[in-house]
Amino acid sequence: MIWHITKRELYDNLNSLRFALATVLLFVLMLINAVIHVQEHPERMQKYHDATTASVSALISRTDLFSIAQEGPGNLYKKPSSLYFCAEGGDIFLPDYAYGISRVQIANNLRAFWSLYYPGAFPNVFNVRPDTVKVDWGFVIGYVLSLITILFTFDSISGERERGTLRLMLSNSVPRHTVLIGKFLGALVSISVPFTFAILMNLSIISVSSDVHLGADAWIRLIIIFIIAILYLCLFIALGLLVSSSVQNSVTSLVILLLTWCVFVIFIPSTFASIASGFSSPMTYDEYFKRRNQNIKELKEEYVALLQETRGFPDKKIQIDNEYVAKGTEQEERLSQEQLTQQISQIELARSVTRISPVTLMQHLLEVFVGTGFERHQQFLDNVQRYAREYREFVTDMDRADPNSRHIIGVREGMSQKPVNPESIPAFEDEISLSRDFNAAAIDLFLLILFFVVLMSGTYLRFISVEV
Amino acid sequence: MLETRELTKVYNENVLAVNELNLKVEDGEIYVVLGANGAGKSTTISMLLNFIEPTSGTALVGDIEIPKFPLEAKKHLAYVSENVELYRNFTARQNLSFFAKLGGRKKVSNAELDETLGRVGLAEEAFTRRVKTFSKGMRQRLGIAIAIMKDAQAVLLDEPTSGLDPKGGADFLNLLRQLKEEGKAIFMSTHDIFRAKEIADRIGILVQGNLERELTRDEIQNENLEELYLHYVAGYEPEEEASE
Repeated sequence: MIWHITKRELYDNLNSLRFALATVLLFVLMLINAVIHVQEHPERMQKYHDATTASVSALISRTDLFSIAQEGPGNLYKKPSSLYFCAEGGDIFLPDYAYGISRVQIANNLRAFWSLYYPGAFPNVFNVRPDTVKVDWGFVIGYVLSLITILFTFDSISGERERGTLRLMLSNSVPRHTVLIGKFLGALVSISVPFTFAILMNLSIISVSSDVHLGADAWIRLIIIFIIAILYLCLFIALGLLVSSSVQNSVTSLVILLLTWCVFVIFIPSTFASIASGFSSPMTYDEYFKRRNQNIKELKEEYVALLQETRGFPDKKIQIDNEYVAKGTEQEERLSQEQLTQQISQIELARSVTRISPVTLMQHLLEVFVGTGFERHQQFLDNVQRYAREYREFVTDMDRADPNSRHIIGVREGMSQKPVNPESIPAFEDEISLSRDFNAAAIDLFLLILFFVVLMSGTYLRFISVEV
Repeated sequence: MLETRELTKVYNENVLAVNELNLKVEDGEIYVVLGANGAGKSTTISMLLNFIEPTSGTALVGDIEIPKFPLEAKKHLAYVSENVELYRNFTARQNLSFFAKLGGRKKVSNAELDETLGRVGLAEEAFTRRVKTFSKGMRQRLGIAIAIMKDAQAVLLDEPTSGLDPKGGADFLNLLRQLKEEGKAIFMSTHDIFRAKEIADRIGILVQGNLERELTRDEIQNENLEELYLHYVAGYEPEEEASE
């Protein structure tokens, strides 16, 4: 019975103008997306490759342990995702690198060791044009597909009621939930078929391009993204059916659905994010530099005062130099970390508040599995911090391995003087892990499923009780 | 056989739509319920089809209590509404096939569909035409075809002749006579007194949810139905009575 109703819905939709327009729109957008990605991705990868090569060259050019320990690993770059076309994830507003360098001069001949720094991203400094919408899968699914779904479902039940076919249908021994499921499946198949073909066309263009390589991991991620898109589609179908079954005519249904769409898809993500950001103000760059300069000034003054007492005691001077190198390094890194933590808190607050919008949930999920956006950036920062520990452990281990070293890390004469094999210096690898991505996606996935279940239950309860 | 027992519907805010309605439609009988707009005709049909729950009382088709076993009861009920729009992008044949399957038919051949469509007087060229090109009369014929195809024990018709031209109306009544001859219990609501008089075996006059009067076939023939109707519905008194 469900199949008969689904088939009828399908037939009706396939013969409609809205189906034709939706199909054309989805294909055009996916074509644009594929063409842009095929053009831009090689440039992005080349830029990343050049930058990492330069960074690695600078790193392996050092052969003495002290300069390795002092200068640090240099720039550490975030690896671009091969699935960038799925979700750009606001990556232009996120830095694509972090750096570990030494830049605190304590005295004329004494510098602190390297610290990790997290630069900001200022994409619009030289660009006064308004930002244009990126035609990625996130946009197509989040905005276009949800709107198409509304246009397919607004009259699903109210239209039948207006035509009198709902009464005729329910005058048969057909349970109401059967009608609801049939309509749900009809809408789902009607929309997911052109969407799936548009995606396949998009992926065919991208995968036949010699400049883009999609590995097994990428294909698994694409399947996950497709499932998320279908779940998101289901949520809007449930919403459409809920409103359509709650009102008497299709025009009212369409108006309510369009307003709901505007509020949840456009208004809440942008406005709530701005409001939530206002509740948490991270350290500004001015404050950061003011505090940093103050810290360095105090450090220098303390050091100079102590230096007077070390005259004639070279061992004591080495100890004090070591102590102040460590102190300068530690306070510099703590300040950077503090600024970063505050920035992350602000973003996390905004992300939490906007989770009330399904499009935000879907965008978060897409970004997680694509490897772009905020979650990916946090993963990159974790990788950077893990690498920083590895790098420092490497210096300590190399020094410990030399019996001639005094093991006073911080001053040249206290450290191993043995040349270091450049190949043995740990290299930074910005890896992403699917299991970690699942953990990061858990809350958003749970909320998306919850929204769907709540809406579908509401639709069911409404439809079984509605007087036809 | 179709029966209502003390069937009552009170809407929110104590609006009494149908009040303790008792009536019985035997197999092979056409029962017409007359009443003005808001008299409770459509509410009664809606309760018979379990579209709305009765506040009290019950209704039966055969031995099956409709409010208790609605899905089982609907197997024995066919319905023709006032304005059968049907699926506009479907052809007549597709509409009929769809509703036949909803009515429980597993397989329906094109020959059977065409025979039914022909029986209700649709021209052969209309079988494969989309319903959106149909006139109201053609859609009503298709509505009857759907009811015939279901082959249910009782047929409920909610103002089926409204908006039909005289020929369309006459043809429609002929189709009802055929259903009657097949032994169906036919329950029809209308405010078309003349067609009611022409077709009904019994007539019930419904006023504000109350069955004010029930007329047998003899009474229908012998009494001035129009005056009687106006008397109950509008409180109109016949001239001769007024002069007396």
